[in-house]
Amino acid sequence: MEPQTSNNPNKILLPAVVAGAVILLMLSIAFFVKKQKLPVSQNLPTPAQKIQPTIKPKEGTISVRISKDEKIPANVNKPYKLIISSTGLGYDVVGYDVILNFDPGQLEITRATSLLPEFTLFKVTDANNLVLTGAKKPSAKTKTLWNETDIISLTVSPKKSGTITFSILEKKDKETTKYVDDASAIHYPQVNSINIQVDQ
Amino acid sequence: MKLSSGQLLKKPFIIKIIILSVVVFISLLYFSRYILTETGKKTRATGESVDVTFNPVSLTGAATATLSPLKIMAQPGSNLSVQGYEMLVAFDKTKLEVEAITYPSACPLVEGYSSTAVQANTAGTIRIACANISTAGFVLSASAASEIAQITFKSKLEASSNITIAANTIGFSMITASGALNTIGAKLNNTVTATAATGNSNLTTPTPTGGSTENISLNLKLKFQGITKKPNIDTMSVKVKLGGLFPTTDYQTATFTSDDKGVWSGTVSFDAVSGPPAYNVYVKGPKHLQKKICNSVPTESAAGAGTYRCTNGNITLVAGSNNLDFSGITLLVGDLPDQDGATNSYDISLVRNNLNKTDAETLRLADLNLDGKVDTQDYSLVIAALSVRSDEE
Repeated sequence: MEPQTSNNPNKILLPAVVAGAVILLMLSIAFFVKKQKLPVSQNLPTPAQKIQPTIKPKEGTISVRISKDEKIPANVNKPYKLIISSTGLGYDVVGYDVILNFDPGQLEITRATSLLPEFTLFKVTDANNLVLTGAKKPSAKTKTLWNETDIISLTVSPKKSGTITFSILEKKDKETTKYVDDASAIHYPQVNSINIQVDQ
Repeated sequence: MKLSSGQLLKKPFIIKIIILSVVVFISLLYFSRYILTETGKKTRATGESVDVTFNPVSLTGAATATLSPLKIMAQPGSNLSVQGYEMLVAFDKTKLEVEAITYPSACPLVEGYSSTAVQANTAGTIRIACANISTAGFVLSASAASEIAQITFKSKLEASSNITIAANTIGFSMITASGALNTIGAKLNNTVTATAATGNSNLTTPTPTGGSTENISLNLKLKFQGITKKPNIDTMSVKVKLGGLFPTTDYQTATFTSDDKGVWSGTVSFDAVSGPPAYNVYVKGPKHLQKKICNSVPTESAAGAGTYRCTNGNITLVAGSNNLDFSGITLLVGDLPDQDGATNSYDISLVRNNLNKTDAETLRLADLNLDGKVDTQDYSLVIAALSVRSDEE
């Protein structure tokens, strides 16, 4: 008769392997479940997910750029031309407001003119902002459809060397950058900001 | 075929081993996936952390004064393309109130989600949230801290309190190289102490010497720009509020009626403090810019219509009826319905788009001199109002 102990390794190994496998399986299931059922706070949508659905789409653009006629960098106390251009998504534009923001210690605007002859340009200044209001003349009968249209020419004079930030703001106090169509509907466009490099 | 007794013993054993192998393989697969995922998270977070700081770390000023703007700055470990961010700023609403919340132009507020000042003052927390909807987002530079929001507080009383952000409320939506969005958290580096050191100890319950809360009635006479005789429509709704030494009252609205000379009369009532303190009166017509008036009988030269300006209130009001003749100055047109406190391209366009129209609804909106039609006179008036631009506060 063979001694009973000859089968013991198999009898011990098998349950051990089974137990180990079961433990591994339970652990992995636990990890899997944990991953699927995150705490409530972690299941909240990301800021972007929460933010994006509530965003009102911008209607067109009003943006500033350095004129193609200008060299980079600009020079201190030398006139430098910027262009404001716009896209209006097919609306017949009859008026607009643009809030320009810059550090008056670094730069001054010496001239602002409408590049659309049918518009009159009005300027209002406060501390760090210049608000430009364009009003279509009552006598103008043609439609004004913006499609990457240059609407304003700005001549600026840098006062210091370095990098100067020049921005169009969406909103400042009671002012907003916007345009108005022939049905008196207000549209809020996407705006931008540029850096102007200035040398002595 | 017959199997040997050894083979008979081994067959179930092999099946068990196969089953176990499959189970172990699947287990290891899940486990390794979990380990890799968690390790990946830690690696990514290490390289993409954002430091959020307040600047400055202390705000001081007199009680009931506007404090210096508080900037919230962010600086990532490496340049980040970001499409938006949000966080909750907590403050003691019994000691501070929010006057303004502004965002950089690259990341405007999210209407309906970001807190307004009113919402913040009600809740005692400010939800800072902004979004840049362009696919490229905007870049948060690693080389210097960028301003991601600015809050202007006003102290309500002589006290000190803290302004904080709970670190677990901060989230930046980063655009990955593949264009996907990835939310990363941030580390908050400091808190702010706001201290109101001097001045009135309590703005909310003013009790002037000799004063008492009474019903104050104002019998006003007003003159509006462009109207020199009794117009066809001789009633208009006018908003009036009181300011001066006390917090400004709410608007009271009353119907005013014109006489033959175009002088408008009406009565408004307030529950306000009567007695020695001096008031100013704010008047805003339905198509007009708000005028601040500090004298009971203000005047200006006929040539300078609309040029009256004042700073400090000098109107003494008593309980009961008060007669104030403001017809010596002209209230300027320019802020057309729906009013936003300023004359701008909307107001000009509203007149321009309705030139020569005479229907009632158009007249209600754009007939500024109430002569029964929208014409170039109205257009000239609204253009002239651009020089004044906004409500007097």
